[in-house]
Amino acid sequence: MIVSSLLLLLVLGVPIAVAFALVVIANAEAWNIDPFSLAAMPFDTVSNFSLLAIPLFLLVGELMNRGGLVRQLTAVCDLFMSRIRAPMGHIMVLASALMGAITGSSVATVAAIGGTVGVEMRQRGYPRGYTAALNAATGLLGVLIPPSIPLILYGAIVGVSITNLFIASIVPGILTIIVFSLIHAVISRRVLTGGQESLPQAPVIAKSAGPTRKLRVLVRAIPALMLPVLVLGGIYSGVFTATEAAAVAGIYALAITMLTRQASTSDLKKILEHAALASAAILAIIAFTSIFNRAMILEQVPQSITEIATSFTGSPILFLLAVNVALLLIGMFMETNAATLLMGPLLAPAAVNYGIDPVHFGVMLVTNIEIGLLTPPLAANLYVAQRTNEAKLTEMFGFVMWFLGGSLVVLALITFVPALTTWYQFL
Amino acid sequence: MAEWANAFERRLYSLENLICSISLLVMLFTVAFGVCIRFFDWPIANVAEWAIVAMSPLTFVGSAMCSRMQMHISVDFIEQARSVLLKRAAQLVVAVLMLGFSAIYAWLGWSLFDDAMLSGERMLDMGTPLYIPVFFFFAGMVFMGIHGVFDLLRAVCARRPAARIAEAAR
Repeated sequence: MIVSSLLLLLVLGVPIAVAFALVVIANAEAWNIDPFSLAAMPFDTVSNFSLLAIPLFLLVGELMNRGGLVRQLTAVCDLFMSRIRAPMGHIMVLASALMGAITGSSVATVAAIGGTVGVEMRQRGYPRGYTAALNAATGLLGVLIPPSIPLILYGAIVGVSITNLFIASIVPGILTIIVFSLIHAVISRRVLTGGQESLPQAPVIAKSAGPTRKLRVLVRAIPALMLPVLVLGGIYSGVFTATEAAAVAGIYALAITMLTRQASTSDLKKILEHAALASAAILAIIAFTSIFNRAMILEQVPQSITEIATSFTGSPILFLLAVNVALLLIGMFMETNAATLLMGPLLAPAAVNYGIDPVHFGVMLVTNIEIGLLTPPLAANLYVAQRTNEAKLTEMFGFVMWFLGGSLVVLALITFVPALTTWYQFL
Repeated sequence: MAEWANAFERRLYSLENLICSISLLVMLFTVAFGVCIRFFDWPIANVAEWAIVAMSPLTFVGSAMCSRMQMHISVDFIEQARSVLLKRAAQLVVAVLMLGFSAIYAWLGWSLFDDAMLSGERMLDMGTPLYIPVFFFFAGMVFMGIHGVFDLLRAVCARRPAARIAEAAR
């Protein structure tokens, strides 16, 4: 009943944030939810320091686009990847992995990469739907490449070494990069006219460009290349956190944009307006779905699913299979961090009883819940990618299926080949 | 729809845009300044608290901006439909639901604001009164409600949504 009314509202075109909130409001009495908490919960959810990374990275993306930094970065990528067919898709995969190593958050990665590389992809002839689908899928690397916020939460709540979890997630992260690059190599033949990117703008370097010209491109791109150095260097030297890195990157991008006179005052107003609209659309979903998450917890829905998944089998393989199905379902309806905090302590002890390594199980659990970011109705990566790439969801679905399939293959490998995550124990 | 109504909505949108743009700048500079405070060990309280305060106007007043520009994230199945009648019916239902949602949350936001005023609760680092961010929650929902009324009127009069009017004007 709840699921069907939610789906009806979504199909009618009611904004996702509003649809989730209305379903909870309609059932508030049955779920014993205090009306006061209906207001307090969205407010408390967004009053969170780590969520600041989302609007700040969106602003960085807008500043980089309009300030010309993205053009400089893609020109450098062209220097090294121009011999590969359809390089921008591969650049998006690698850039998302790099952003994952900066932010540790899937949604922030999608926002930052969609606003930068996504724009260049569209200019090079990729359909909006495909660009947005690739952007949403590669957002998974934001969590699979360490550091990772959900893995930190799992480690803290289950009592497993976070360092081991980070090491264990490296091979699944690399596997995901390979699988997504392969899928891109195949699909790009179909989506691009003649299977090749169109080269619309000046920074693209001809394959035969001389060393002087290549050097000039590199020198011109130094300010843009300094940005990841600043962010990664700042985070790993312990000077600032991922959220603070977003603000420092924003100040840096703003300074470069102003100093190089790439944007006028009216351009800056537009940049702020676009960043505000994109941020608000995402933050509204995070705020208003929080009450739905709470309602599910109060109704003990995840516990019921877990009970069903763990009650009927004695085989560890069947247990992992059942848990994967249950987690995929939960990932469709719950936010990643909330689902990790809830399902980690519920399932990890049962997994240990079946003789499954808790580090292996943690990586599997987080990967699985992350895949939920690609599966509606609560599919944050899809919605953020849709917004940043100005695409329609219906244009995206066909392409997302490919990447969803690829993610499920990686998940199956992580689940049934434990050595992919526990290799470090044999060193 | 009457020109005065469009002009009023445009002005309201400009105000919302100003609030959200300032919020973004506050976030950017206070978080970066917070890094400096810690790095240089300056004897100043953590101003990054204002960044958290700014999240409320950005989210809730920004939601009102999204309502005006039809930029809320939604599933667009109906938009792909060929039947104009179906699209109009859906537009009407969505407008009614949006108005109902804003009305409920404006009321809940007011209760929360009233409570924050009475309790006098303050934030930890800078002592910012809690009613300031809570007020923006209430204001955002009221603004959203106002856009909701205009959207409903447009749906009843079978006019195009505001964002499409702006698009056509460009």
